[in-house]
Amino acid sequence: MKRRSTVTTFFLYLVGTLYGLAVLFPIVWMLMLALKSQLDAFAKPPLLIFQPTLEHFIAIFQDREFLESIANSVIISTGSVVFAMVFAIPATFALTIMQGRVRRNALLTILLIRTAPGMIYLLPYFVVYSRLGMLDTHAALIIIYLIFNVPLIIWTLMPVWSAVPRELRESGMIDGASLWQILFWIELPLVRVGIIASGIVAFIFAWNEFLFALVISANDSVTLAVAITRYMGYEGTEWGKLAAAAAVMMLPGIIFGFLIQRYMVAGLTAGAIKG
Amino acid sequence: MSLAARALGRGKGPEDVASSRAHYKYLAPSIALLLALTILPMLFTLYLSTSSLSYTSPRPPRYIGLRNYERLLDDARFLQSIPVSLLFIAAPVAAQLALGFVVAVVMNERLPFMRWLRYVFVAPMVIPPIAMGLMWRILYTPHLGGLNYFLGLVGIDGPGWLTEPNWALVAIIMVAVWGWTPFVGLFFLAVMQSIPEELYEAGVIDGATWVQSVRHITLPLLRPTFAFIGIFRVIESLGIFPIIYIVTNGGPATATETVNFYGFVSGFNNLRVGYASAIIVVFFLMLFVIVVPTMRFLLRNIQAGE
Repeated sequence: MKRRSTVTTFFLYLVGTLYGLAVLFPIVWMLMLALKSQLDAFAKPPLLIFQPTLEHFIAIFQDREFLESIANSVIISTGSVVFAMVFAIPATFALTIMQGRVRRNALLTILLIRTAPGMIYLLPYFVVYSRLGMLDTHAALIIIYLIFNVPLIIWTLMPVWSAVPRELRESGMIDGASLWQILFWIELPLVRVGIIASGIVAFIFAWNEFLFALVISANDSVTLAVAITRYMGYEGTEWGKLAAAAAVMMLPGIIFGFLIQRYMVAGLTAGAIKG
Repeated sequence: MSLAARALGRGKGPEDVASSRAHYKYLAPSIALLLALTILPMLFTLYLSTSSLSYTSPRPPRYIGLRNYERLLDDARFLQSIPVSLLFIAAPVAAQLALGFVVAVVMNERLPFMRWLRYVFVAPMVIPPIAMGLMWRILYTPHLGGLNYFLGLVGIDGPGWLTEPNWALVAIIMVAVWGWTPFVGLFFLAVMQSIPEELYEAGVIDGATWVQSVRHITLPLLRPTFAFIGIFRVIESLGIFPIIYIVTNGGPATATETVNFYGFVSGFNNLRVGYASAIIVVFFLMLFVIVVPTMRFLLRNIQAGE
């Protein structure tokens, strides 16, 4: 173990605590705003202790448009995860068979596609969708999200799948199983956890996405991310509702995020360490 | 080894799954899908950038060659968006790497009562960027209290975060640093945990202090990781569109507009699709010019590490 003086230890605690609080502060502050009455929200100096109220949460859950946007987000996110899986599962399987440079180049290409700012692809989709009459449909966003979710699933699933022993595959081959049979009956059941984790990561991505949703969805398919901004209306911003809506939107990510925390970083780390 | 050399050079025993190329057809649909969904739109953008397409113009779109690009050179708003973009790439990424390393070092010490940090750090990774932007917009808005009130408590007279151009730039950078440092930190931590303990023990035997062992053992071993995560963050850094949209909406005036943000405004607010496409093409070239040299540096580093 590294030798650490008391002073060093003190500084480590100090830096860690301060940084942890700095990360928490904006989140807590927004949640407080969501629970404050209109009057308390604008109090000067800002109130740290106040009578919490659920009025903003009740208001947004009585807002038809808000509820519909949640339904749209669920449909679009789920749809994009399901379709992305159809492509990503066989791809990941193939990548675990591949080795060396080819595999690395394929993985890096896939990563680059996932990382590139969506703006590069946005305009053509808008033009093409408007010609096809597909603007403001669920399918329009589901298709676009494949660009990000197929790579995301591959990268998250990859380390889990790589841990499956090679011998299983080889004994399957000797018994005369085809690749499909090996994929479906031998390996897929073993990577269930990885499939669920990568599905959650992809779901969260689609749920959180803003840019494409802003442009492609308007009324019938408007997603939660876009619907929230409508509380920043022309007649002044409804801060309480805005904060409450954002809190609702954060919920699935926070809940699932804790559950699959290690998978989120693991995918990329495996890529960085082993290439 | 090249693709071809590899394919030819490998043995073809019946039990060697990798030697047959049957599995390529499992990867092919994904690659084909991704290329179709990305390369085609990019080519279409290139095509659109040479057209006069505008949804506000009554005239049908026509081919106008490089006219859109010529206009860009005289467009002060566009020219201003370039340094803003570079700032929004360089400043947050540098801060994320530096801070991320520091918090990773802290977490790697496994101090008692500090495990909560790792859970706290998951939050920004899963919080929608739009909500991140909103949180900070709330903090920056004077009549909602927040940041300036707390700065006032320690005797600092907080600036007009959203009304003064230079502070608005800082405001956006702070959100980007807040939002993505935890990811960088957890990433560094994962790599740090793969460093064998013996290295540190050897260091202790040689009389290394804690600071020295971080400086001479941890840091050099993480160099390839810095490159990898750095490039990753650089490419992703201009994806802070939702943050800009919510926190400043490009303002005050156009002070916090990046190239892609201006592309968005031209395309979807002004509906000048041809012109916006030209902006996007330039944006893409800009990313390319920044990323390719960094990428080569990264690959060299990884290979050197093998």
